[in-house]
Amino acid sequence: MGATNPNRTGLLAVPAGLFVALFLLAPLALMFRYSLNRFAPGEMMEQALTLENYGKFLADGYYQGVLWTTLWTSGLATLICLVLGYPVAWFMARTTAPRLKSLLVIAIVVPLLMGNAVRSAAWMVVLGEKGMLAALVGALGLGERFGLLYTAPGVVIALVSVLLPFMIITLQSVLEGVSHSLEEAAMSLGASPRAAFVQVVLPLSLPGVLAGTSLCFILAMNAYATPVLVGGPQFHMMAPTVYQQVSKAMNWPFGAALAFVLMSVTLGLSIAANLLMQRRYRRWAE
Amino acid sequence: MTEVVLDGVSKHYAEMVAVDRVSLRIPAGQFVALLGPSGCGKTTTLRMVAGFVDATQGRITIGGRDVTQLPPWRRNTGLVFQNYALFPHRTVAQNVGFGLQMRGIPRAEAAARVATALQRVKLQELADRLPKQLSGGQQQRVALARALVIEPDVLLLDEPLSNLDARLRLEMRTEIRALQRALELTAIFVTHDQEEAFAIADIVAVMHRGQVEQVGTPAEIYETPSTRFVAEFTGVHNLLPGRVTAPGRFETTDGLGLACTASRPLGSLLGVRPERLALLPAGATADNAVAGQVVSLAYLGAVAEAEVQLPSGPRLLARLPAHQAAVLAMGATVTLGWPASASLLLEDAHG
Repeated sequence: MGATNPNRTGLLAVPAGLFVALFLLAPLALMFRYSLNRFAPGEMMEQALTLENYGKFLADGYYQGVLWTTLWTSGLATLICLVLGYPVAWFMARTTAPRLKSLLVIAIVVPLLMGNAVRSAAWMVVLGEKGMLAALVGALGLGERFGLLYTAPGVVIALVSVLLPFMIITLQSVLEGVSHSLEEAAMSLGASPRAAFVQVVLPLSLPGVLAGTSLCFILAMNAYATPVLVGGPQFHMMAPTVYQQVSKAMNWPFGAALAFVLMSVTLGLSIAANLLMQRRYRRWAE
Repeated sequence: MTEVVLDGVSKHYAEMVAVDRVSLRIPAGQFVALLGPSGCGKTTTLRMVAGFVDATQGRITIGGRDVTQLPPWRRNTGLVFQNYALFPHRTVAQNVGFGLQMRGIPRAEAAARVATALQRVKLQELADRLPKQLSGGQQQRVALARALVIEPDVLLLDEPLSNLDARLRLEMRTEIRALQRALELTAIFVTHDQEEAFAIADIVAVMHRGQVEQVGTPAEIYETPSTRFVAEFTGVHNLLPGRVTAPGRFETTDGLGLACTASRPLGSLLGVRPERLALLPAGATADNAVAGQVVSLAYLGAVAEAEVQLPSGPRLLARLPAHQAAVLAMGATVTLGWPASASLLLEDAHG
């Protein structure tokens, strides 16, 4: 039997392909179809082929505000992850102490073993008006009742804590591949460590920066537990709003439309970033 | 043209001494090879000259300028790496131009110098390629051009040929040598390959356990190794312990009387290179003639190696022209001879 026949090895992808088709693409198609239906109070929806749900999103400033909040919160959290994560990833990729390195990897992976909801709940304790942060600020005499719970900065902080491990792990794996001898070559040619970093390491790590920021941004755009728990009743991001429409308002068509707006914006931005990067570094990044 | 001097340079790590009081004067325009087995400290020594390893003790001067405390980017050395270390995101021309860019050389002048450097290594047609589109030999040429274009005070080569196949290695070493001569550069070349060191260098420094064991021209190292290590590392396989009993006489511990040159210093070992041993036909004489039994034969093409067991105990390895060795058979009794001048007297002590 031709186990090594390349035509047959393609068969190995069939189970996963079927799974994706059945359980991802089909519901997606169904949701898209829903988004074209018309809302009918009391009976979920009625069959139609209308763009009025998308029209409602465009007409209603409230929902555009939610998208905007989602965008800048995700963007800011991703940017902070990049700024905080790059030095850590760099250190991990360059350290020659293997024990320190495995310790760091464990420290970074362990939080991932806890669900977002659990960690977000913990942030509620930290950020609340009677929380640890408020106690610390109070003890330092910097102010009273200093709480970040139910504020945008609180959500950004909590999102960063959730997303940072993804950024670090992604960047580290790319930085590991940038040989130290390249930096040495640059320095022997007259580059200061700073110039060697800017001219050699940074450009070579851009694929990792792109992958890490894409990953964090997509996760942030779709975050649910963190905005709900840490953001509270006044802070609205897209994923909880979709849930709210579908489960609370029972407005499936509009919820589906919101979900597709969220997905298109996220996908569009990610693809745009990829294209931009590829155009610049097409020749060697492939 | 710059002289490079290492003055009592050491590198100590927590639990070991990597380089131990190395002193070496490399005259301007000379090509020096640091030769030794892996772990002998040759690469660490080179990296200290480049500035990537801090010397624990000692002083390094390049052209009279003390660079011991200078960072790598202020030393003006041209370093060629074993793995080439080309910047994968830069074209050949951009790689070569990097050092000029760092020095703030105006664009037009830099472009002209890059073109000249590429011409020197015969790569001008490939200026716009990326490193990954080049063969290993071409990549090495780019690395060389990149190091040369900055007009370094000293060219440092860290086993630059070891990733190339045998034919290219020969070609590149000839080319490196020609460039170094043409540009009158002082160069330090690190290698574990004796033939490579001898072929390329004016001066060879043999290193062992962090120390320089012997410095000399390739001929000096080969003809008169000064220590047992240098002798063994450069292929003196036959070492017979004993002592000098009279000028020109050496008696091995198992009672063999051998002739050596009277002028040689005393030593407790007598060494003979396998290629200096000859098969003596019946009736012929030589300064030294020993009979024994052939216990192994290996045909290597141009030459053959025969191991001969002497009745007194030691075995001698002889490298003979293949056509001579063809008549030998396992177990045959043969007489090996060598002139007194081929007897090398060595101290047994390990440095």
